[in-house]
Amino acid sequence: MTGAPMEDRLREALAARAGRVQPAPDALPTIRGRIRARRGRRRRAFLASAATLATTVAATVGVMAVREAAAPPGPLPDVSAATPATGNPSPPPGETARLPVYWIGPDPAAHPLRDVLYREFQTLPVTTDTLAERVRAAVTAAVSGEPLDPDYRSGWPAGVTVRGVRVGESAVTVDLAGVRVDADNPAGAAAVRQLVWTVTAASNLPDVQLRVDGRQVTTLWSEVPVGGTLRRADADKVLAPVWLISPQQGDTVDRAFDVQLAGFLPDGAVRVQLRDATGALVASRDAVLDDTDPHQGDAVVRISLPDGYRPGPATLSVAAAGAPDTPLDDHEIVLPG
Amino acid sequence: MTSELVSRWTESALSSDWFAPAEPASADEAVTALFAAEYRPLVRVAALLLHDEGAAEDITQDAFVALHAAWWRLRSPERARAYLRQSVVNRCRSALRHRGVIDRYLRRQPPPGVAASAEHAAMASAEHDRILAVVATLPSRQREAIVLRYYADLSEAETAELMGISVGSVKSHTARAVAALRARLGDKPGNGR
Repeated sequence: MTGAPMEDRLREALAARAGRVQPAPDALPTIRGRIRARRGRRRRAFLASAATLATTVAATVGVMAVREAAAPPGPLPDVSAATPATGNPSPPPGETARLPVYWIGPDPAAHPLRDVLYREFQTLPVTTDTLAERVRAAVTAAVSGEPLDPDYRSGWPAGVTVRGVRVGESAVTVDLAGVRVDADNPAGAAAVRQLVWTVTAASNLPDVQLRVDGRQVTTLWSEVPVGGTLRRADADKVLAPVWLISPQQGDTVDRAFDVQLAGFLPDGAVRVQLRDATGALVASRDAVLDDTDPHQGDAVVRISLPDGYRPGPATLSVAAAGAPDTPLDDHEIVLPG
Repeated sequence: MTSELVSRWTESALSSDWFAPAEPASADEAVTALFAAEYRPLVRVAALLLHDEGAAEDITQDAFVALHAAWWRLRSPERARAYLRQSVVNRCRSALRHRGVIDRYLRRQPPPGVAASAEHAAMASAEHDRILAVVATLPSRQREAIVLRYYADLSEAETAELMGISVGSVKSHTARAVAALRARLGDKPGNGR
């Protein structure tokens, strides 16, 4: 890279920055919801206009009294209030927010005993509409909550809680309680990665500093260094090789639905398979993860359920196209009746 | 390196097999198909222009909702793609003008050369941090020009059309931006502060 023209350095820096932008998994349903809300408003506006016109015409021909014709229509119900107006709605105090939470799980591709990270979006309670509260909620889930997918787990031992979160200019400081720093934790390194990726995803800030019971610590579980500023390690070293972003575990899908994938398999070729409760193959789609993101490619494939499919529980899985019988990630979903 | 960074925009512009010209898609189908190909690249371009990922996603979703309303007069994937890009760039420009997101971004930037640590294989190298810190201080039209040219990989003519300016102005904005980067960072990586 030494001596590379400024234009190339600029391209690389912009691509790296853009690669960190991970759009929300529910963006398409949000857009569809907003389109439906807009249709509803237009339909009511049309009906109100038609009613006004009819009233005016009736008044003109003397069927209705002028006083009644001049009465304004009642206020329209605000449908948009029931539908998020933006892709990342800020919840009012005391409500919930949809936040990224990373979990650890086995790497079925190459190292069955190695823990890698998977991401879910969970709807979590928040008490205030602040970045610190959103980070607190996400970290609380990561260290003491439950993943939607039972294949995942937290690397943090039971009893760990979040004492506080402080958001600075570029760093988020997380203060934990209940961590036995000298105990043994075989998943310790993965647990710290889980926390770092969750904090940086929930905050969009790159740096994390860790405290335990209000004090700086340099080592957790006797062997995991956590002093100074923590940042994400390279994605290809810590993330699962491919994962299902949406639908998520437990989602009920439509008769036609999009499957969002992310990963970095060598050739990017993946196969998505949907099997019903009997194990019968309902649908199979091949896709190639785009390689424009140096950290993690993605793909969207559309599945339309065939006539005669069996409604109810089903398993959606993704595998390398060259080894389709070895799922790398799977989610239990529900097919509509 | 350059070929690896070619934008999805360029790739998606070459693939129109989702749309059968003889049988125009409905607005719903158009939004779904365009979402798969265009949403993520558009969010990324908006994020580079705005330096605010939440706002970038909101603006891109606004553009898709607007596209749905405008589909009856577009009825072509090429025109729809152009509409989306124009819509996102215009909305970013408007957001920058009215919301002061640049100031918020600058306050969030980490100082260059953050100390190494256990996880410091890092989200971005110090070189990227330095370049992006300078990009963030460029005048908005210069930043727009270099994001569209060097990230979205649009031609000078495409960039000019999208920005509503002449090709000569695109060249001028781009050259000034690159000159500013060279002046601040030097000709070689690591030459800067």
